[in-house]
Amino acid sequence: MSSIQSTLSIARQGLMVSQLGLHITGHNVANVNTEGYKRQRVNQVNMPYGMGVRVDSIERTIEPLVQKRLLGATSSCTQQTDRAECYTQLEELMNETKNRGLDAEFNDFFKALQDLSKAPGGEAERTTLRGRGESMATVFEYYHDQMAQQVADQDKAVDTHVATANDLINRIAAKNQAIAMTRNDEIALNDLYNDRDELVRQLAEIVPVTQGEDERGTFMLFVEAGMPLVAGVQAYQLESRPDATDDNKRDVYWVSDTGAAQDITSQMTKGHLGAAIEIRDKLVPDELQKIDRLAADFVLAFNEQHRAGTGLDGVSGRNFFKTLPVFTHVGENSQGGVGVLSATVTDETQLNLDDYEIRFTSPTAYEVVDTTAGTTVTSGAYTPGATLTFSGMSITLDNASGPPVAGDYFRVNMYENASENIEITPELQNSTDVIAAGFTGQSGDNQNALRLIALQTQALASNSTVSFQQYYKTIITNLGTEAASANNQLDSQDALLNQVTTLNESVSGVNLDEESTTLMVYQRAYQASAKVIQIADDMMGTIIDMIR
Amino acid sequence: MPAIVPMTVALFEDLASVLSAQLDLYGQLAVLSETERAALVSHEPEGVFDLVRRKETLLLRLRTLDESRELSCLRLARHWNLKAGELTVSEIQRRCPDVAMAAQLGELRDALRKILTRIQEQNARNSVICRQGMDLIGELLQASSRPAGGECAASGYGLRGAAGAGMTPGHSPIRIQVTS
Repeated sequence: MSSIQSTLSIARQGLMVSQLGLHITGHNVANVNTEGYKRQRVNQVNMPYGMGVRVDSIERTIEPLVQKRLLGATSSCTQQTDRAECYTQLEELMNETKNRGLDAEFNDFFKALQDLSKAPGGEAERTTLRGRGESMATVFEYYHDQMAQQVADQDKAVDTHVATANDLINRIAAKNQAIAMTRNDEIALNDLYNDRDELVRQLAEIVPVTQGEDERGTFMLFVEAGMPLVAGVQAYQLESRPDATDDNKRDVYWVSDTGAAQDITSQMTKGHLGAAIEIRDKLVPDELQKIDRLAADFVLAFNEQHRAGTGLDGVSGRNFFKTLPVFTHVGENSQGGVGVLSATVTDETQLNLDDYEIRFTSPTAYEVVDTTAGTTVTSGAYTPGATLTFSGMSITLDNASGPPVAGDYFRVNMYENASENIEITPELQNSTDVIAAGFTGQSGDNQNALRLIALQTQALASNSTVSFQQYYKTIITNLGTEAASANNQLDSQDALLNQVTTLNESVSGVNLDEESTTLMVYQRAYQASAKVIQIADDMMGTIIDMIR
Repeated sequence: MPAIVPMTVALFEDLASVLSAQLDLYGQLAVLSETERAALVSHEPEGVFDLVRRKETLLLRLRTLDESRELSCLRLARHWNLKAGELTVSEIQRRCPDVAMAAQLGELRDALRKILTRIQEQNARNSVICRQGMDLIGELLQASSRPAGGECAASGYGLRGAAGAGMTPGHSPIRIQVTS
């Protein structure tokens, strides 16, 4: 290579490196507001024998450990945000100062009873008490409906989140395809990596994920607990399918490339999906169960005392509220085909709020266990159509779609959905004479009304430890504590996410000040150089004239 | 051939001495200019600043020498009753009665012509680099001072690395064809 050609070649290479360097700086500046953009930098190396400089690589400034922490913090933060939002909704629902809640209903109900005790035969007082009973039942039902709606909303959200996750999974695999197809363009590759990182971050908002590479360097993305979501250009899909034992809720399945599906609902521990499942299956049901138990405690206790009294028509032994239905539900993972043909209350005096399980120890044998007390209530041989009677309940089972399998079980109790089912009896709806204010049936007898009034302050709720209203206030107080705890956890997660994001941005993000400062330093260097060149050119003008 | 008057000899020697010193300094300037180009293209602002400072020192010394050269030329012009602007090295060489001195002046002229041409070329190339760089930076600073305009989801590049269009935030404001 001649000297002039060599010099021109060095200059051309140098100019290209220079322009590329400025180009990268400009690219960083232009993408300062682009979500997920990672700052790029040119690594240049000197060529041997003074042959100038060349670009060795264009790197994204990333820190894998920080990236990993960012994904985890993102999943946790979205989960805590959703949980905190759920608690806020529950607090709003039970906000006694904003809404007319159960505490006010209890007060008004017992106030009506006091009025009745002063005028046991009064039609107006009886009508008012009936109205207060209906009103209380309506509020219980409203609570139930609102919480059931929250559960249903979260169940729908599972569908939505799965669809969004699949879209992101497919887009991540497509990015991997584009990365594999891109050659000799490190800037474009880095942008594709940035885009992919952002998609992974968005996926982490929904599903807890971990990212890595296999032994051949193939990009791998897993559900945090293990199943692959993306392996190179291969995308694995999630599906939401009805729960095997509960048509009202959907589970999350991972589907292999051969179509085999695996239930990974339990792996959805964080992110929007984790929150939706936790809210649907635990958080709201736990609160609803407390309200159900309060309703059931109240109905059982009030009816028991009411049955002891006599109505104006001289009839005794009647309920004020309708008898609550027996709740039965097939246990999770039950395999057999046994169904509940009927479940009825046979003896109201024996009813309690314990949890029971009818367990099949073999296809022909069962036992009924009081899981609250930890005792076996009864056991025996099972035959299709058999009726099992225990604790005031009667359950008839049938081989609806096959015999039972050892390990199958049914949950049975008297409280679930009590808040939905509480209502005054049809007899009371027809006539206020049913109200048993006394023991004699005479219009001036208020003895049972006084006993009924006494229920307000008796410890009859929550395993006979507190009064109904005290129990309700405990529910609200605990809810407030849990809401505060959820908000504290959200604050902590939010702080952690901010910390990790800041850390990530400090190594990956574009610092506009830094980039602008870099540009201005270049600018001053160019200006200074240009000025001195001009001075030199001017100075040389006179001597050039002379050396002609 | 007339004998050389002693004062004239001293004038020739002074001029040759000044031109020789200038040749030496312009040679140093040429080396610095070459190095400066490498610093300009490889993004070494500190290197550029250092070279600029060293070039400034050289230019100050050259300025002093140039004044000496102009003074020598003025004296020679007066001696021959000529205007200073009309006096070129070739003319001085032609009028120089000493062959060796004339040859030395001729060598100095040729060497200076060569080094100055080299510096002029280097300056021209470096000026282009500086101008392009300043234009580019002007655009970038203008783009970076533009307020953000909402969501910027897309990168400034397409899947194949093509630069995005326009000066909108989130897109590269410049288009440079990078070829290997």
